[in-house]
Amino acid sequence: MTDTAFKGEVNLDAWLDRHHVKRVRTLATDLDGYALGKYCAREKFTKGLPIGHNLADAALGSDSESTPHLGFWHTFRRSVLGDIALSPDLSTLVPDGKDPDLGQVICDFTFLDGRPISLCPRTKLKQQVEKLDALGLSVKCTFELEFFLFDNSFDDAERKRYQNLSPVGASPLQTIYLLKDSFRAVSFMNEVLKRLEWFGIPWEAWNDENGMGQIELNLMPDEPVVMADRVVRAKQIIFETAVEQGLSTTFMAHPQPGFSNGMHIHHSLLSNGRPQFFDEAAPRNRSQLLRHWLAGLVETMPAAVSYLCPSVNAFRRLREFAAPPVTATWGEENKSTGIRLICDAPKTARIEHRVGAGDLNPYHALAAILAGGLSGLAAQQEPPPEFTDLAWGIPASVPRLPSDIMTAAKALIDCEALKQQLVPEDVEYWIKSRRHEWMTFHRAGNDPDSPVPSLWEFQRHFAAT
Amino acid sequence: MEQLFSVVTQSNAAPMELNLARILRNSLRQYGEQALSGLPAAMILKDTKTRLKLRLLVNPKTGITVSRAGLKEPAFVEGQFDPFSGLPPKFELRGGWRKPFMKRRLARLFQPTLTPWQTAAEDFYNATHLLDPNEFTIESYSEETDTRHLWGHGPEKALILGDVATLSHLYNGYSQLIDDILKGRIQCQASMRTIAIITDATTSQWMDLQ
Repeated sequence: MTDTAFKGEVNLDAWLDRHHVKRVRTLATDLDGYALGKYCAREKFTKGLPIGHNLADAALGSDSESTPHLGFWHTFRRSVLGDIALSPDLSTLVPDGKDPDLGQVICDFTFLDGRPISLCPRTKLKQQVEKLDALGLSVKCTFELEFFLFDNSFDDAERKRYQNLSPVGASPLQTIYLLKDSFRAVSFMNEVLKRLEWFGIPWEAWNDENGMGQIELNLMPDEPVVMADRVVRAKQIIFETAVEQGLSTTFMAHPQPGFSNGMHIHHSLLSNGRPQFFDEAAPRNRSQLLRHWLAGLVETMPAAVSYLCPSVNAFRRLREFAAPPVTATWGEENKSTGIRLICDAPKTARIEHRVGAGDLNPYHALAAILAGGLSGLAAQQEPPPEFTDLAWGIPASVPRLPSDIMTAAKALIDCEALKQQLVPEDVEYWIKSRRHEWMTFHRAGNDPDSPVPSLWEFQRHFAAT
Repeated sequence: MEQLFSVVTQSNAAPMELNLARILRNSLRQYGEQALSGLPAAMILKDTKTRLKLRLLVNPKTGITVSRAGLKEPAFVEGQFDPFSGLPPKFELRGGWRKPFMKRRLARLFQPTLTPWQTAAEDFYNATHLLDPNEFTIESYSEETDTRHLWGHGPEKALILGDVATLSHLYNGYSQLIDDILKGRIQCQASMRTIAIITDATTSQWMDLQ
């Protein structure tokens, strides 16, 4: 490994020397999308290559409080508590920029011999990309990150039990794009953007969002695994910058009544680098490939909700007239439907999937979307009619999205197309992990319909999501 | 022709609501339309652990619909239906039930049906699709009565130890094995995989996913 050329240097050691890297932080996301990893001494890191370092298999087989999944099983686990590996993807190795001695690398969960574990969220996304590759297709995509920024530190927020926090911006108006609110967040965002640039994460724009203290950050599109890696890194950077500045941030889906964090996902398909959604000769410029892809997305949308809204908290967001979609519908330039199609020009033609919550795991969410599209290509169906009205407050005959974590799990159980694309055993394990979330939520005596999220939800999601 | 009754819960029903629905379904199955005749059209029930209030709409022809009620509505039935407590669901009727026949019917409606634990265990293991008798040998044992139940003949062995009440609630589908294990009410000696698969099967049974 250390004998081959690496990123313009003669080998990895030369690259580590050039960048003064003495320690490397490994990072992978668990099922819930939480960033896990270790700080490794450089020697330990290089010695472990290419497989990487060990960690407990419970890292992939436990909930977000590290309570092992004792009540259901996956074949990647051993009959006793064992180890798996965190295998670095060296193409993602970068110097930290802030910490002069630190390198950062994104990893996959693998078996100790380096074989991939299908359940690993990043591996799951790679599986879908490979299927598209076999069809001669590639994907260009991006995520819209929404988060709340508070003047309170994380410790202070916890002391206040996450209530009555002071949003940065703090005009009493819930006005979107208000520059006076944005200005209050400039010093924070400038530091975030500086670090994003250092990590090689190009961004497009950021703005004050609707909620008080809410910010939206848009990243430049790229291929799926790269983009999901960037989202994970951007979230970590935003968290770390907040800690350093004595502030707090949250990607929690629904931290306050009336306002939620979403994570809309834009994507388009390409073949040999050429966009495939726009066809001048087709009715309304919608290519046949786009129509089949769209049909798959709409059909699997209720099932994909389980991955797009992974927590009990995320379902507080899906309310009529509250901006997020509540129906399995699509429409061109319609921001109230589950899918917004933009098909105005070859280069900008894309699909915006608007169901995703701020706490989604980007690998899982994108994998579920691509799997849905792939099932549409396989079935070669036409999409249901376009929804041209406002998709809230409409008759019950319009298919609704699942409104709670168990209904979403049930929709996924019943969706053979998505199960087959995403590997049945992995989907079943995921469903059982959602059942575990639901049980744990209720075991603590919480009410999913309470007007304010429970302390349990804040403790589970506010800082760690 | 036998009349079929249903108990419908809302889509985001809590575990305690599912336990309550199971009790009501069993009562309807056992007593048929007699269980519903003469009951008020609506009743408010309070779960003492979660403090949630539920509205039970009774239709003598179709069954019962369970939905959430406002916190200030007075409850006529108070009960503990939580599946995580390790106790059997229990309830009491609050004032206003002066008619003895009504009280009897309500008591019967909310009374969980418990079959002897060994019979319930046999039914459970035979019904589950997650456990293969050629792979597992599962022994359940109650020390206090020296009673046991053996299922399967496979090489993967498991021993489930608990008192009669706990085993009875578990195999009748009113509690959660994972909670019973974590809280020390049941000892389950087996590999992690075997424990996980048995637990999964009991949870699936409890959620009517068998």
